[in-house]
Amino acid sequence: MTPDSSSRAAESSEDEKTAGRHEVFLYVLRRFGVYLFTLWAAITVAFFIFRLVPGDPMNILLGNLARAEGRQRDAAAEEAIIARYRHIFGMDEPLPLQYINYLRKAVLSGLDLGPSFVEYPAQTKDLVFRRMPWTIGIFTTSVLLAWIVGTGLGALIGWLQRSRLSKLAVVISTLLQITPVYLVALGLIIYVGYTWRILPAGGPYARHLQPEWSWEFISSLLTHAILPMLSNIIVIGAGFTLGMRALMISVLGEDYLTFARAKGLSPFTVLKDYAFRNALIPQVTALAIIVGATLNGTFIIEVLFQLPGLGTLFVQAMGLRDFNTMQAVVLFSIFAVLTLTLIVDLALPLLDPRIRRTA
Amino acid sequence: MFYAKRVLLISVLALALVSVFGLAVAQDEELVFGDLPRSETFIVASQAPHNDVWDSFNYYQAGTYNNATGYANVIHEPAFITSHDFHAWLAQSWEYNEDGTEMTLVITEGANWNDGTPLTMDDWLFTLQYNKDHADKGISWSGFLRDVEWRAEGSSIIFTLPDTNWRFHYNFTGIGTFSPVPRHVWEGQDPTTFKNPDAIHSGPYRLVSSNPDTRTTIWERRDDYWDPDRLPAPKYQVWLKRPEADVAVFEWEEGNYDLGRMPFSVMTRIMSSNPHIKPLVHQDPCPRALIFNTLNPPLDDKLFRRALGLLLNRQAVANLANVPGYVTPVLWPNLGDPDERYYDAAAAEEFQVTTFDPEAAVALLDEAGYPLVDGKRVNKDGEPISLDALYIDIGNPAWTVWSWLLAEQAELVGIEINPRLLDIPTFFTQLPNGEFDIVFRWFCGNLPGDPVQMFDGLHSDNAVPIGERAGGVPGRYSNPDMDALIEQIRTADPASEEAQSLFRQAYRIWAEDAPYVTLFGENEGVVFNSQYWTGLAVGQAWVHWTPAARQIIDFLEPAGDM
Amino acid sequence: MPALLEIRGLSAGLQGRRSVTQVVSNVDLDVHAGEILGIVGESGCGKSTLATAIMRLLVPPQVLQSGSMTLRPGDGKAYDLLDLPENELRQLRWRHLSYIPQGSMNSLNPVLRVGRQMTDTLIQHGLSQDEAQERSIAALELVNLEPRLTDSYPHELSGGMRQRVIIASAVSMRPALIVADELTTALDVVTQRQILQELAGIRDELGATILIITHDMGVVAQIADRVAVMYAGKIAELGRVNGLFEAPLHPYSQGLIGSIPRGGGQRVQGLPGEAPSPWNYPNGCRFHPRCPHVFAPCSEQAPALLSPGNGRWTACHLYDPEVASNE
Repeated sequence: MTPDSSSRAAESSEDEKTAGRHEVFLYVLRRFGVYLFTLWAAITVAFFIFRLVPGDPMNILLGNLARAEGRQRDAAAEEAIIARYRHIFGMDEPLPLQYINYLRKAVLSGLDLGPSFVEYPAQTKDLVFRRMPWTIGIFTTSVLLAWIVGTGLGALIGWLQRSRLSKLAVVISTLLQITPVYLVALGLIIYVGYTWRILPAGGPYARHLQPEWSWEFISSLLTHAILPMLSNIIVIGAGFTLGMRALMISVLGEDYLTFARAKGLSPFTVLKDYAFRNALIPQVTALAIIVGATLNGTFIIEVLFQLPGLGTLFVQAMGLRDFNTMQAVVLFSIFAVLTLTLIVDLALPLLDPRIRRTA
Repeated sequence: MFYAKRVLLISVLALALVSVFGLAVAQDEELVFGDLPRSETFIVASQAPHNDVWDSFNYYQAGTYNNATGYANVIHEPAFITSHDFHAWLAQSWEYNEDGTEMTLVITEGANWNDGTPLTMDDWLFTLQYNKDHADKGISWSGFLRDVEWRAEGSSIIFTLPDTNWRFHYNFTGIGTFSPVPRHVWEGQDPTTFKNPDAIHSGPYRLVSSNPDTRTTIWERRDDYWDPDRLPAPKYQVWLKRPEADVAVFEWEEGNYDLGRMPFSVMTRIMSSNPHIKPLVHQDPCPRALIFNTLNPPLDDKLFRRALGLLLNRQAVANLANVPGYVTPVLWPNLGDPDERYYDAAAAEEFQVTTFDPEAAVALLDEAGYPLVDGKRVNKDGEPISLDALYIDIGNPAWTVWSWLLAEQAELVGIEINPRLLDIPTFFTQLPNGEFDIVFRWFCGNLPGDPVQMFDGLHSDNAVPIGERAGGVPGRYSNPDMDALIEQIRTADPASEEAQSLFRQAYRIWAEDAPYVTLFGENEGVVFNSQYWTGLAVGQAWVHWTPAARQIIDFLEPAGDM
Repeated sequence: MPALLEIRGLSAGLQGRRSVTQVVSNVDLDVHAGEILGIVGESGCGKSTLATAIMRLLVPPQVLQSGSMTLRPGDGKAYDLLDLPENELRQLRWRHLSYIPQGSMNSLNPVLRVGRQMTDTLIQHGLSQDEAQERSIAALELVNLEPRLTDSYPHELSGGMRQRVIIASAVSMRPALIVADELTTALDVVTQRQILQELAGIRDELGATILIITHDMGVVAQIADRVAVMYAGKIAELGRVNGLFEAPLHPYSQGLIGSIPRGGGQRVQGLPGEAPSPWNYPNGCRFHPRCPHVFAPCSEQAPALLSPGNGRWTACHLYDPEVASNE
């Protein structure tokens, strides 16, 4: 009776393995489809929405020219200049055609996103590629560090939920989480950077240096990266800490935790293999969700710390109504966020055996 | 690889040296930006515009136009500097023939480029032709050469003009002017894309490094500058983009910058913690004004426009500005005291130009047929009048308070005026398109620039339909009498009594029609740190945002050991 | 011979903001080596709290108030379970004292393979990896599971299989005492029977002592040697299964046994009223508001657990000669 029920289970698990592999393939395919669709939708929305914002880049261009020359030009000369730049920027065609051209060039001509106003005649693509390492460097490193620190800390204060220190940690985390990242960054700049003079508080590296493989440059780069990353880590990390703590506490109430303790396992094993591993799964999902929401904060940090990243670029582009650059920044941000989300989503089955089937 | 090793070795050696002699060296000489002695370095903290280009030194390109790198201020020298005072620079003088169809420009001999190459007539002729050839690309200082011919004679260039033109020299003496470029650098290059990466021009500095990541440009004074009498004192200049004002405050407090712009709201704080810091105010050459859209009733009525002008309390704006005396009322389209030659005092009196007089405004409104109905002034169709007043906020209260003061005064006489804040790109789009009722704007039509610009923008050529881009003054103003006067002024010699009479007539029409009303002249503020450098003072005539700034650095003197 | 587990005066409750609400009151109980003792009672009678207290798994707001528990697992030592330091208690667990928790469906860690969850405990208790593997497989076979199930994750198993894995785990160290809390609640009747039989087999094979906590009189009747009936945090009656089922002494036991469905279309006799919650245990005998035989002393004085003879114990004034005679 019982042996055959278990062998039946074993047999069907063989079948399910094949079926499961198929399902995983479908899952990955579907997930990738959603990924491409979201990317396309984002480009499209960005394309049209920026053009709905009032303000014509040509007028700003002419404003600059007039400023450079210190006088007004006559209307005919202005029209000629505008026509020339409209043509260069592909803005002399009807909007739907502009959109199709934009997509066509972006996809077929190797991410040709057109010229930029911010550093005309530089290509938007080059501009974004030059700025992206800063954003990705600061953003991904700090989000990952924040996640690691927050997850560890949250697990610990969830585990020790009844201790006084733990309760204090919750209050502090809550305060930090609701503090705008701007204030945290400014606080770090003022105290760490200027009052105590512990670390440099602005710029990507010391102003007189040029990028090179030297210890002086690399150490400067690293010390300059600490405060901007710390700003991000504090705010995001506090959120991750609170999230992990809540997950931990709910896992601690699970039957398998009681059973684990009844088995006489050491507290460390219970924490590591039973509580932490189970709380980790939703925490990884939280990482994917939070990644998108924290990009804004990184942009603010870039502006405040004068980092030549995409955030600073976007602010400049917005001021000039440089559609190409604005679109490119949005495109690459969404690309980065979606890619991270995709990686997390595809990594989840590795952590949670239950998803391997149900996916 | 080899380079990296060498750098590493040098770094280690340097580190060892510094650790041995570190303290002694630090006490002797404060070093900044690596190895620049602080006392020999002049540091400018600029507020770069959105075009944030640090690797291109091309003054033709609108996109690269910024004075954050110091390029425009340090090495880009003009033919003449006219910043109230007049200085011959790369050129010496100019002269017209008797009927104003030829102008002779005498260039300065013996100048050189900052790579050591002589600056010759050849470069001048190349640049003139280069600008003319590329005029279709919309580059700066090219339009004025249309239909103009020239030839060289010794150190003179003789320009043959298509028509009588007594104002051709303003292309060399205005605020932003024509300036030659080195032929050996620019020949064969496209003016819209060439970056002039080594920043070759005629000024007393050469480029050491420029970094778009840190947004810092370092300049070193050269020994072979062509005019030793005008060799600036700082051995080094560092131009950098300062952080957000919230953060930059600390840099100023620590004396890390020497010159730069800051919002005046934080000045008191900086000055109280660093006694070396002082504000430098200088008159901005562009007076502020309000433009009325003369196509939008009742703004099509000059009496109504004049009535609005009477409601502007310019003194109140001045009082509400951050720094007292920061703004001053202006009486005529130009800044400063009216020049009697171009100014009709009787007309100013008759039409109460720049007077604040609400009672007179009420009388004018009643006379013009905008009666008060239920506490509101109504237009000719009997509907209550409601107008928008557009402004932008750049952190300068004078640019915003006028709209609220005007709205307040207008409400007292029964007119609704709604102040509307626009972001800068939107503002620059709506303004030329005529999409406004009342708008705040600055006018750079003053002397020593071309005086014709005082009224030139009021020509009806600019009165295009709303929605189309207008040049000049975008208020769609049109008056055949004014057009006739402007056309005569354009060809007259501004120095002649005949032309001055035309100016006075135009002034009278302007005062009566009030297509725009002057608001105030403004003092621009910059922050100066006198710890390492002195010589800059309030009252000096200078403009920091044009090539005329080249003159400013000559004022600098080392502060010495104090 | 002293009992394997000797519980004396055990009280446990829930810590409120100001005071403690007693859930289990002054329980005395001996569990003898080799027997299966059933503790039976309605939901909320405190039987699970008692089991948790025996396992020392009470978590706040649950608190232990007083009492003592001595475990004599046959190694010649006596362990005072309530006084044992945490690390010694850990040593004791699984080696001498195993637990099959209530809610076995969710008692396996969803992210670890079944085998790992069995061996990690064994390794913790000093076995080598190989020994642990062997023991686990042997234990699985004991409950009729295939050894290769060690490679499965809990969600791949049926409810019965999970229950068996837990039982296998609990017996893998051959402990002296196994506390099984609501062993079969979530299972269908057929699986229930199988598992109970297997448990009885384990007792016979390993000589383990099993304490079964259940609300189901049927389970007790099927497997237990002795039974303790709990009502409102106290033991109402204690005795051998045969005797107690044939002739229950305590009116509550009588009611409980009357409510077991039987064949022959006989109507089930339920108890009137509801069991009280710990926040309003009645004074005197806690059963008196529902008792058909209630008389004066019942509402005033709590009855002691007394033996009217032949190994039976009950806490009822009806059987207390002093109280009964005073009436």
